[in-house]
Amino acid sequence: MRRLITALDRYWFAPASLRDLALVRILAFGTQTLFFLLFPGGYLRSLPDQIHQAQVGTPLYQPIAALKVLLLPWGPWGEVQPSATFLTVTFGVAVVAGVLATIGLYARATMLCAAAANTLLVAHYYSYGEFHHAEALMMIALNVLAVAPSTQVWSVDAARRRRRARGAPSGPSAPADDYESSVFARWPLRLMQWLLALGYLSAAGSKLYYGGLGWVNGYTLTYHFLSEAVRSNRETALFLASLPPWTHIVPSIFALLFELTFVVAVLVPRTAWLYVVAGATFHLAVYATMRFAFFQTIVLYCVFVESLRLYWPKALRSPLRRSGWARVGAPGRAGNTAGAG
Amino acid sequence: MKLPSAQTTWRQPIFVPRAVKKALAGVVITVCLAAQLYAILRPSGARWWPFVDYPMYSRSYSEGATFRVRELRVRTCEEKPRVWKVWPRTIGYQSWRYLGELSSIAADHPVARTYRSVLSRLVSAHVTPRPCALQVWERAVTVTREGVDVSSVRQPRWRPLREWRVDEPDSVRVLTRL
Repeated sequence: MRRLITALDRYWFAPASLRDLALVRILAFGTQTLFFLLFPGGYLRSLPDQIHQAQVGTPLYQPIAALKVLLLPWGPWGEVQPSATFLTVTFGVAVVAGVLATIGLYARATMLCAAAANTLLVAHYYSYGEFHHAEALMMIALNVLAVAPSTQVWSVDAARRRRRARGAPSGPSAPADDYESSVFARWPLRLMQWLLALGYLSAAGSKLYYGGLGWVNGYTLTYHFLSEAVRSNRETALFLASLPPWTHIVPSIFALLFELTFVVAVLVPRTAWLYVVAGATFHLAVYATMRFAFFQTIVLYCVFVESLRLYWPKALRSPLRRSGWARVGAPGRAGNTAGAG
Repeated sequence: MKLPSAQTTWRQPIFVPRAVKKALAGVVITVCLAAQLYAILRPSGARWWPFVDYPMYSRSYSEGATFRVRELRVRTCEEKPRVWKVWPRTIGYQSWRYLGELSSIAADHPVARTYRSVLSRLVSAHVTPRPCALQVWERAVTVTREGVDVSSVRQPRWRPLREWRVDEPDSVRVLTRL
């Protein structure tokens, strides 16, 4: 038992780079606030969509559990429907708190506010009998990042702490953000890696369970292209649907294998870059052909940042890696392994 | 000896032992992974959102599969009746639920009466001029060995399936048998 606990402790709480965690915070809160929330008129549950839904769809209102929980302070369980004013204020909170969380100012409070406001908005939009999957993992990520030491570095709060510390006498109470790594910097990223892998496993498992191997026969993908072409008048989807089904066999196999084996990116960090590139290509191709927008998932690939830093192919190295950031948090090379949690 | 000011004291972080922090993080990890696994193994739609399963587009199709899409139209009862399409957004629907309910009405599922009633209510409230009847129309396209015939998509042939009076959801009339 002790060995199991030690192994789990090593797996989840081995020292990791605080900069990696900060980068994920900036990308997650930044994109959710500045792009996904404000994206006009569509996938992103913009304010006009939210208000329209609340005003017109009252008879269809079936609040989901997450919304009921978040609305508990405003009334009995499940009996509150957000008004247009309430949604407008929540939207404002999501934007302001999201910006502050991104730059890391009053970060603990603003991250929690931004995570709650975003979760409430998306949960509200999904409380009219229909829900989608693109935001689910991002909402979990925002909430997890809000309780993790995501602003120990690369944040206004960290800069202010450093400035204060320079004026204060040195001693054991020196601020922890002088450290580059923390034992609490790894678990949020690992957790999100596993949630991504479980999501893909669910997708692959469903295809095999409900569709069987017939899912890769080419006709299935043709049918889905056709459905998008008809429902949304998409020329690209129509063109692809007009091709002989056998031409879709290879992409179908690729999609199924990618989803089925994504967990390898978690278990074998050396392969993460391959899955990140393949995944981004996969989701962008799906968007280009069928307009299924899983941009949040692409953003969340940043939780593999440590694996990417350490094992990104030499031929594709970026200036960041050449600058030496890659060494931070590398096994046996971490600058300081003291916790900063 | 200089005492710390109230502001400095307020700024001091609360000391929490590392073991306690690890235990709390462990609880978050366990809850998230358990909830995600539960949502995957016992799918229940959005019940536990954001912990959900991902079964989208998982059914398979073979040669001859026919894709059907339905739409809601409304009709006035003037001397020269007018018929037009009702967009789901106009009556507060998002697309998938709307399509699912129209399919149920077209197939005369037991729940179809409830859907007709809800649609009637929403159309009465949000569509002007107020129509006197609602109709479900359908178009169908088939997947062949050569792919999909583009002309069948570009020049769709719609056919009316069901009609009911807006004030009487039970007055359903079969316009075309499936």
